[in-house]
Amino acid sequence: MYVRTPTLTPLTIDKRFLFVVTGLVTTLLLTGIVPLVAGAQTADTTISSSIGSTISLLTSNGTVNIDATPTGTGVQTIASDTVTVSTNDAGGYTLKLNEAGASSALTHNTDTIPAVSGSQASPAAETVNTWGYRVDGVGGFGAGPTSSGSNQAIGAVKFAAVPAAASPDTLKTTATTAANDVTTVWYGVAVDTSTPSGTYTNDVTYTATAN
Amino acid sequence: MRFFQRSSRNIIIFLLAVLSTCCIIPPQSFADTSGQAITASPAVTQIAVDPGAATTNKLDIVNSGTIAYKVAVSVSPYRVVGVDYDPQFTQLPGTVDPSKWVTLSQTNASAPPHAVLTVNYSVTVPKNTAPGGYYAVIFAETSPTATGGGVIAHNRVGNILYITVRGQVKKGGALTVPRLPAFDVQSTLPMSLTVSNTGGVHYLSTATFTVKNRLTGKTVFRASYDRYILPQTKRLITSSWTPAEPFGIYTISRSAIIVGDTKSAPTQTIVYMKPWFFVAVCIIVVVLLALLIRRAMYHARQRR
Repeated sequence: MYVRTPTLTPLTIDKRFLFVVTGLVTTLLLTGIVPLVAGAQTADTTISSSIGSTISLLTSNGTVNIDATPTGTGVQTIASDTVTVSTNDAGGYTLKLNEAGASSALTHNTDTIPAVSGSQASPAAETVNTWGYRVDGVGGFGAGPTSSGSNQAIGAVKFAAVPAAASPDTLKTTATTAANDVTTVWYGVAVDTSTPSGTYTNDVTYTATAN
Repeated sequence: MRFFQRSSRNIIIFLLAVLSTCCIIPPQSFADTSGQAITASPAVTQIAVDPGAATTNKLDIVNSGTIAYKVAVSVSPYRVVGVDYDPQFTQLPGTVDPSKWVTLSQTNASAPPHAVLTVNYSVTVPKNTAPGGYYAVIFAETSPTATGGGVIAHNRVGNILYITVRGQVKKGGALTVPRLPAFDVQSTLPMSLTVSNTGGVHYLSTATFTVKNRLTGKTVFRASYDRYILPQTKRLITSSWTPAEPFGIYTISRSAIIVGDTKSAPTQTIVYMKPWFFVAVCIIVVVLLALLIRRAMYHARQRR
């Protein structure tokens, strides 16, 4: 019976190969890629990121022009301001409106156009030589829709006086994040020829805070 | 060798491309919002400080619009009224005014378009201040230049400061839920719960609403809301769900995390119908009743 004996050839390692492998292993050990102590090691890592909240308020241009050319019986001009709020606060935002100064009247030097007698809860139609604001669908204003007009006959659209700084009116409250959420605020003035001519202004403040 | 030369050339080209891209895109880009725009970042700040100690922080004010304006920075008290949390910026008589603890690095500045103004502030809590929650708001307000007659709009945004004065303070609260109707005919299902804070410091509550289809057992709606609950207040948290199906029987679960503990209200089962489906069911019932009555009358006449 013939048995084939395996022939053992001597193992020869190229010196350059050995040099490269030794270098690689040393590098891996030094950089910590291969753990010095063998064994399966796992670790859970929690990725945590705290995102801060921001709030933005944008209005059309800073001044809402409600110019009027009065007649003996009186005219009314209505114009709008677009108030846009954005916030990433999960609770949403609250938008309020109040007088920036002490006076609630449109003022030109010593001449004034007083605010309408109505409030947000109980607004009233403008009478000659009064001004006010309204937001469709808020408080007692009614659904509207309000439309702008210049020097038109005094209508039955209801307005409210802009409240003092200590007791602002809430225009909108939301309960979630908002991206360019728009509120249209209407301003109206009704005047007759008894009002002295001039440039009348009143400063109001829109306040947006996170909820 | 040629391979390494080619690789290194590719890496250099890649790095150059990345660098040129970084140069093209500015580090902070602004949406060019037309108008008078002001942003406060952050809108809410949590501060914890020991009695008699001080801490510093900052508020960034961004003119994200196209109109230059002057900015006035001020501090006011902050509190809420009612379960709807209507914010008030006035001090309640007889209470501490924490807005006086806040010192601003600047109160007036000019803000050209796209400018970022950083207002540093410190909060110094007087000694002997009782531990608990105190609240104030830093306002940044635009002062526009009038262009003609009319209404001059000042835009004001707030950064609410939730100040915790460290120390032993009572914490507590409760969950209350209104009973839902057993039968609901609406296009959406409104749900609500009220979380109260009976302690002396605010806490963050997470309210969760879950709706399950009683017939299939599947969860059809789940929503969670994080809300701060101020001391000695109750906050109403609402949610709503619009079912896709015209009819269903659902179980509604409401829970809230109150001072770290999850409190759950008993689940309620409701029968839901969309209004049009309810009308259709009513018409069918009326028609069937009419037919039955007619038939009964017919049989009665036959018997006579």
